[in-house]
Amino acid sequence: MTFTVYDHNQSAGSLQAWASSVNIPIIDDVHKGNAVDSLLRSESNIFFVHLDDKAHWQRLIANIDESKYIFRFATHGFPPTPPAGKHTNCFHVNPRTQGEGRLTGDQISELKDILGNPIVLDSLRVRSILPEIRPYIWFEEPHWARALHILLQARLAQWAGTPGHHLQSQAQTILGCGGSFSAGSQRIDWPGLLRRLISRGITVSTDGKEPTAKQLVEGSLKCLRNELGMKSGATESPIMEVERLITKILETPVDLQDQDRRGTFEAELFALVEKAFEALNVACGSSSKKGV
Amino acid sequence: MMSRDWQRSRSDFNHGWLKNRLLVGLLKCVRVASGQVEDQQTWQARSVLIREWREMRKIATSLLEAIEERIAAPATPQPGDSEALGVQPCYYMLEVERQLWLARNSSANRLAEARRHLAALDRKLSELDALTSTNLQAPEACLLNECVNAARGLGEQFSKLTVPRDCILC
Repeated sequence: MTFTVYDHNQSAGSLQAWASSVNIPIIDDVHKGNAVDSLLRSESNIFFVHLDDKAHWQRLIANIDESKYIFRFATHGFPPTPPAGKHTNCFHVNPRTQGEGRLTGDQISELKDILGNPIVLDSLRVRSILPEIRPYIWFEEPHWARALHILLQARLAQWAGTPGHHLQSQAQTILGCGGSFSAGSQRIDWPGLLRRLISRGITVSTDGKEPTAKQLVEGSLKCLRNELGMKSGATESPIMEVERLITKILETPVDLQDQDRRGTFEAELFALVEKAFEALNVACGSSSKKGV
Repeated sequence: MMSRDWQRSRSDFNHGWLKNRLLVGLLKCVRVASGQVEDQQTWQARSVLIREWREMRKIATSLLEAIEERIAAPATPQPGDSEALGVQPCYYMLEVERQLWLARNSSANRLAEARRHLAALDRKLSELDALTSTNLQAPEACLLNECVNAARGLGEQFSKLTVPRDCILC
């Protein structure tokens, strides 16, 4: 295995300092975009990167060769974060590189030695974390987020598969399936199904009572943050989109017998489903995207 | 074969064996055959790899058969999914997943292409085996390079293969 390091802090960064001390090749381009190009061109198998720019990170993990591995470090560390990238071969090193409890140079060397074992790498590739690497990398499978994603996908498919529906073409575009797609259309109680799924994810105490809508929303978001490795209270996408969607469904205030209000509600719901679905596409590492 | 097991098996075959073992071994043979490196153990190792291929080919075939099954028929919901979300909604959600997988991935074409590459590698390794099984002389670099290209081609095809999700809550 051959390693290459990129640290956006350059010589001031602890990752680059470590790489210098153990003679690991370093990409020292000051321009981050160029550094990403250099990483993508590199012949090395494994990359240790400290890259704070989200757009550059996204470009790197979307284009890295399937046979390679990226391990991302951060000053403040990472909460448990599922593998990322087109080939899910990009991993987050959980301990921080600065401050109290930071990774020492010896620990980074130990991580490098552990990753030299193909068995560890092969296990990571199938989302299994062997004990020796657990002090450095750990994550959870986003089961609940994936289930929500598949449910929203099916809801969009129902719109996409309903001939003459005014949202049919938009739904087909979101699903990236063109006009040829039809999984049939079934009568499914979507709000009821979503409520059942949400109830499964709930982790807040309800003292044995039926959870309120507020508790369901809070429980779902907590579950989602845990699975996606987001900090408690995080409000960025997809948390925000999912919160809006389930709040809308759990607190449906409209009289659905009223044609006009039903039409408005459906249009609003469609917009929320679209946003939540696309946010979960990214978060769950799904291959489904527009125009595929 | 469940999607999760398929992913693991594909990774074991494609990365664990084909790319990390067969390809590495064949490239070493090329270097020895072209005189860049001297290592008589290489030919012994090549025989071992060809023996392993007979087992690995079965694994590769079973992976492709699993895709064929997914192309042909909808998945049956897992009991846990059905209990939690109802049988009919689960059937529908899994069928949507499968239909989208078919539409987005050209799955039947990719399957056919992977089969073609599998047969090509099998042919080349059989030629190599036939040529060298009676004596442990160095085969021509040309044939070894063809084996390398066939192995690379199969690896690329297997990297593109996917199966749809077949479980909702797990």
